[in-house]
Amino acid sequence: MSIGAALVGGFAGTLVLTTIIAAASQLRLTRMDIPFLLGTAYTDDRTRARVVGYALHFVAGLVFALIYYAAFSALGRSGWALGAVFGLVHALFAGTALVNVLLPAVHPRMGTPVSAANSSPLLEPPGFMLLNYGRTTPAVTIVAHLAYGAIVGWFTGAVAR
Amino acid sequence: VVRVTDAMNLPGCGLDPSRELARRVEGLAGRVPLRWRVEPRFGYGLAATRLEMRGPYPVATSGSDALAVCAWDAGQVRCDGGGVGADFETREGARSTIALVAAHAEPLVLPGRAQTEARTAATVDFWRRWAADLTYAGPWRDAVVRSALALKLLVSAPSGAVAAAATTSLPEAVGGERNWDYRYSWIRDSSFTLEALLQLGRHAEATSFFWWFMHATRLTSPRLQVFYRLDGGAGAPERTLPLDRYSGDDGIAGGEGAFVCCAFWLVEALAITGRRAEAASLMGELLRLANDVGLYAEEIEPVTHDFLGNFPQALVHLALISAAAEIGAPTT
Repeated sequence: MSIGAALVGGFAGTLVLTTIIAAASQLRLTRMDIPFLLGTAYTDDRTRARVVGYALHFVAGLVFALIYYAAFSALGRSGWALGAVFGLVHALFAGTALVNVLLPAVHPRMGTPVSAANSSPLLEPPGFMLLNYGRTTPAVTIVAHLAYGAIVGWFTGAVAR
Repeated sequence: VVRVTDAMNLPGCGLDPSRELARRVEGLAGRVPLRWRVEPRFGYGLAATRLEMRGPYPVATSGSDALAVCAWDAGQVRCDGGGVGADFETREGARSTIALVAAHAEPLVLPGRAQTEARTAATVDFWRRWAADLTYAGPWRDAVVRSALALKLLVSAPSGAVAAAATTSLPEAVGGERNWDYRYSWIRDSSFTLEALLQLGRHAEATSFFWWFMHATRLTSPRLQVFYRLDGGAGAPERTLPLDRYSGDDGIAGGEGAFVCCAFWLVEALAITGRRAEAASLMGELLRLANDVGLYAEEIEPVTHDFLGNFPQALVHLALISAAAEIGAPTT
């Protein structure tokens, strides 16, 4: 196992995760747009928000890969199957605490269930497991993160062999 | 007495809804009870729609599309039976605003009242400035401005193409089969479109349309298609929608109507041949057949004057502009 392999896996995994979500959006399965959500925390310019959001999303993908690497190291083993298990946990965390507790706390333009119609434009809050963005969004989120985890696990395990 | 202003709000410079349709209701005199209702449907009414309250906002969703209803001082909003609505009473000096905000493949942006009302005001200003720049100065300026606005609203902003009409499937003959989708750009109309835009001094729109035309037709060169998609694509697979409102007797009398563009071409022909008084008289007659906001469908039923076919139709408004310009042209 090496940090470098985990980071390469994190980049490739984020690429695949982003592609799965974008494809699901085109297939009318979800309105989830992670780069848009992340980028609008920093700018209210739609185009710039997406560019900033993509950059932030890839940075987050690398950071999570490092966390995965730490967990693989602690367990003394890695591989795509264990990575996929991490991906499932990651998806559940992302769909609950991350987007419903942490993101609204730092996102100046995101609404919450207690928001009123004030004078600032508010982004539609994601809701539990991002269900506000479509009923199949939880399934899309889980599939995308399973793929991410499996790729990070596979890269990390491949270098170990 | 109330004044109602409808606007497809133009975006500002901040985080605005990607699409926002606003209605402003202003009380001018007395007390007026009002009722409004929205029944959002997606995919020609075929896609399953979910309607629920998200905090203060009713939100309708279907697949990767969503639509929220934002209402301010427009009554207690009810969400029932697949629709959203309210009753309220307006009085002199009161102002209510209702906005439909839409999102495709992204989260909704739910605006505040001040932002929506500011965008509506900015939108009204923009269109007034746009109309003021039109170069026509003849006796039918109001009708020409309305036609130019209709034409501009049929322009697909991303490509510059001009749609033949804004609607689909409104039949030319009740119960008949001529009920096509007119949200494509017809090559037949191209020279009329360019001529009208240039006559009115709209060089930017004319240039965009010209280059859309050049790109679209290059894809099928040397063959020309009857029409192209607004994005310039040549493929337009046909499918039949189960829209049966007009398939039987729906109370609209008569069969196929008279083509309105031909009537305006007659006005133009009369003017060209020096029969200007006749042309002006017929022009006045035709202008009285427009609807309450000065727009025309493709055809008008000769007896009842009901509109038939898709609406508003670009070709009719192009013919109107051309006729008005010809009557006002210097005699040679």
